[in-house]
Amino acid sequence: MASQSQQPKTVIITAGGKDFRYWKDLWVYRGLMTHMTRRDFTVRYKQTFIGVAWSLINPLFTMVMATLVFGVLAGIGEGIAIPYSICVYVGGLPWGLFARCLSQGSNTFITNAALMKKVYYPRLISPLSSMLSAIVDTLISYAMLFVMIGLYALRGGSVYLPPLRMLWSLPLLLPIALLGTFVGLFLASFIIRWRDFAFAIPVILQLGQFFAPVSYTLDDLTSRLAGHGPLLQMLLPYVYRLNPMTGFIVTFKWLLLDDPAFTFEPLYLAVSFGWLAIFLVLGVWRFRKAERSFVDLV
Amino acid sequence: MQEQPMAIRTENLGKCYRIKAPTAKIDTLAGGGAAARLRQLAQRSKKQDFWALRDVNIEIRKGESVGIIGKNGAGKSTLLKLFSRITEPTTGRIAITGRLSAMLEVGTGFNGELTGRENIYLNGAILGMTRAEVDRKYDSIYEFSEIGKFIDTPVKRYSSGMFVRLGFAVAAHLQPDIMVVDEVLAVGDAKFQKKCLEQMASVVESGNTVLFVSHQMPTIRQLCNRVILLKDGEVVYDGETDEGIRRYLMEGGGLERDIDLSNMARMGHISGEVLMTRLELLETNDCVYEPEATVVFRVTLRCLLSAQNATMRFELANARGPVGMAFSEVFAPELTAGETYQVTMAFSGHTLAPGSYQASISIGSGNNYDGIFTFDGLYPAFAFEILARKRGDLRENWRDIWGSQHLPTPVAKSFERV
Repeated sequence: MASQSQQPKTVIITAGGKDFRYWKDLWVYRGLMTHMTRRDFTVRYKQTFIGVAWSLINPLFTMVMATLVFGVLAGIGEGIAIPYSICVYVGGLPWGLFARCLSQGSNTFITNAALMKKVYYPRLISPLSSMLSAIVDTLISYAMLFVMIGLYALRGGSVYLPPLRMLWSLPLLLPIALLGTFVGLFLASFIIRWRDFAFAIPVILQLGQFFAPVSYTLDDLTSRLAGHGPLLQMLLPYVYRLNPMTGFIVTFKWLLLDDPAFTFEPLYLAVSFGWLAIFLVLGVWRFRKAERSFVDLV
Repeated sequence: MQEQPMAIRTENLGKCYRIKAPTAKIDTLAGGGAAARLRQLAQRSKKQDFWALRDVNIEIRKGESVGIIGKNGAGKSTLLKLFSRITEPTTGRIAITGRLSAMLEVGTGFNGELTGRENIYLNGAILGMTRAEVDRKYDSIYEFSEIGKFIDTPVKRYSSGMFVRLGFAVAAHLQPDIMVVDEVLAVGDAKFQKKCLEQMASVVESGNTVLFVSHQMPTIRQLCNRVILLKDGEVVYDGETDEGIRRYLMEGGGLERDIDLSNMARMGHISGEVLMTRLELLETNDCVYEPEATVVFRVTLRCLLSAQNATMRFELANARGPVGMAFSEVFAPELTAGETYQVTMAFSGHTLAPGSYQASISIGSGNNYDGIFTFDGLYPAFAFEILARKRGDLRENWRDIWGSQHLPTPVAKSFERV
């Protein structure tokens, strides 16, 4: 037998012990991660009629709504050469990825309870594999962006081509997905004790989207706040700047949209990475804690 | 013989659950309103400690096949969960040497939308096999599962039997150093159960370590060379299989060797000429018998009114229903009022499947022409247990899923070279 030819290793399980094994196990079980990602994918598209098209419909729908509300009714985006709907679509991609990773991460113990109660594997595999499938979905939505640009060009609009620096937006997807996942994991530890938190997540996400540069920029915000009270003028830009996603979305838009309205803001990006670092630590800490006890709680 | 290396060793292993102290309380927001709920939260509900396992010190060496038995709630499953690292201990430590795989459930992680083939790979990965390993064993898994042409059908359309077969097929090909099995054999049809048992036995034969949790004592006796009996989270017996099984069965209650029948409740119509007052099982220290044993019992009778031609009727039943019935010859042509008698009867357990039985006894007289009178009857009067053949006994074991009784062992009439 293959397993006997190797020297069997001894695993020591101690009450409340620190196990450095965990991170090694994570590597050992990496095959399981790809299996689970593939499963998520196959399962999701197996029973749907238009299959992969669903990864396009979600961002498209967000785009249509935002174009209607912000572009047509509020008149945001005037004075930018690029069609507003494209701007919104580009802003929606990172946000969509973040939101999906967050809700998946926060539900990871609940969706995978059946498995976690019966088999050992590093539990971090579950949220990480759903994160991977979310990234793949986002890549599919990229394709739609080019279709839209092509359609605009055909209609005779000003031909817009994303700059070459857009390639940098691909590696940027990883910190975005990680941020969403680990904020989600942080919340997950509370959700297994109090399900109330699960109901709060859609609210947080919806609010967050309005305080992030998905469908407008900081300039839009400050110019429109001019007529309002000083408190609002003071407070809102701070909320906006401190939103963990702001830096990532601003950078993402700058990478894909070639217009003076979208600039690179290193400070914002640094804030976002700062949040990422904080939530990586908090998320791992809370998750590892929850992972030890969740079988006894859920 | 050189001592085998250690496979599992636990030291002061304990697992404590915090449970809410039982109090009158409002369970949901709906009952009592949010205000009441908040007040209750503010009070901080009292917590109680519940030790599911306590001070477990066991050493299991490579090649042992150990049965873990005990009543529901004794801590068997918790112990397996600790070994398989699904939950962490509260106290103590466990050292596990070699690859351990746990079958706490068949088909863990199966996804209904995926086909049988896809699930083999997914389940393999979940149980810790690499893709190359599954590739190598795929044909064998496919053969074992007997899924046939349905292998490319989503498993949600499988019958529960097919589902279980596929799940077990994957798990059976893990080839771990230590295999932990929790009662998974209690599913599937008779043929498949037999196959699973054979598979388990082959794991034992090949010198790997097996931990087996079951309530099926026949299976335990066939597969295990050692038994750990748990009670209320503590190890109360650790040693020889037969002794462990006996203790477990005795603990279950109902197995008494000497029974006072005089005050037992009688059901149905009895005429009362004769009363059974005492029942003893003879030639046994407990009520547990080897498969070839003869059950001998003695009933003490008190005769209140004189009676003639007393016979005994004897019925066996197990959990599934009646098993068989026997009528004795007239054992006493004459019974005199005021006297006490003892009658000893024997019946053979040769043809009974291993398992638990209950015996009913009635004393009466008469025949089918003149009518039958029942003087006294107890349904049931006593219980006993027939063991399975010992591990290593190569003769076929009758399994009770095939029926409660089998024919007597056939006799070879002749055997010659032609």
